[in-house]
Amino acid sequence: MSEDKHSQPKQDVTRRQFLNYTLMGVGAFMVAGTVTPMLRMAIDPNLQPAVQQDMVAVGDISQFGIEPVRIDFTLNVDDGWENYDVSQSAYVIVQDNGDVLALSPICKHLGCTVQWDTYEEYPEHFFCPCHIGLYDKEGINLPGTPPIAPLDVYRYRVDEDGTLYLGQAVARGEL
Amino acid sequence: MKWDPSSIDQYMDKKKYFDTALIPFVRIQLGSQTKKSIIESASLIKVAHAIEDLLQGRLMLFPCCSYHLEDNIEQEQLKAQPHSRYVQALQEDGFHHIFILSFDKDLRHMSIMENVHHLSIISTGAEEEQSMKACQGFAQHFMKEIISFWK
Repeated sequence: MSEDKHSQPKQDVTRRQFLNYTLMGVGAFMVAGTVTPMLRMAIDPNLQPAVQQDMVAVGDISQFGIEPVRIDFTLNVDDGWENYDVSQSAYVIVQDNGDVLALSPICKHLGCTVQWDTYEEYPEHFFCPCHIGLYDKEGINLPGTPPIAPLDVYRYRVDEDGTLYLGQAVARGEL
Repeated sequence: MKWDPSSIDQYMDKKKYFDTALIPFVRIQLGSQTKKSIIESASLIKVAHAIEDLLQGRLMLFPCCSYHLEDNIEQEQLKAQPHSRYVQALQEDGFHHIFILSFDKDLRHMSIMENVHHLSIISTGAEEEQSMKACQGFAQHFMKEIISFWK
């Protein structure tokens, strides 16, 4: 009995279909190969963390002592889109044991700039004029005043030649 | 704190701490004074931002007001009226200390209103006034003046 062509098993993929799939695959591969680098170039800077200059020299360690000295310096930041300088300030103290304490003057209450030893009722304290915030010489916030945490501290290092370098300010517990 | 969208949430949350307004008044001069006017405008904005940076937990830096400098004194006085209403609205909203920052000493007429103070920058006409260091110097000076009114 001859087989009816209608009863012949159907082929899964014809030659035409195979060629179509192959061409589509190759085409998709070529498009992906062209578009992916462009997408990455557009998106990648946004995914990069801002890179801040590690440390910057702020002076010789010998110019600092147990009394806080305010210094101004500039850190360079590269956030992937642009490169810019950020002005910073610090109160630097060299303690009796030689440790350096570089305090950020940014009040932990609402961000005002604190001043050293300018409040008559609390001499030798860091004072925030905005809401009478107070910190002791170590930058620890006084209880009962608005600040909710100690002043941030700058990462630092001192080179063999005595140059003091300051880096990013971090919360005290993170140093 | 700056009057901008990024500060909205914090401002609404901490509004009770803000009782001081800083309003830069930028004077626009044309003709032969155009270059000087542009330099002064840039310096004024830098100084205003530097002051805000120092006192951002209590002071709100409002957007600049600009005006055309008139020669006629009567016209100057007429211009003061809408500014007076602006100041009154701020006072009613809780800004008890209002500071106007400008190069224009003639704006002193606004100081006759209670708790409105004029911070006047004396211009030497030098382009060095634009430098960050000079602006920081002005800011430190005006910060002390503002704090003196808080006491």
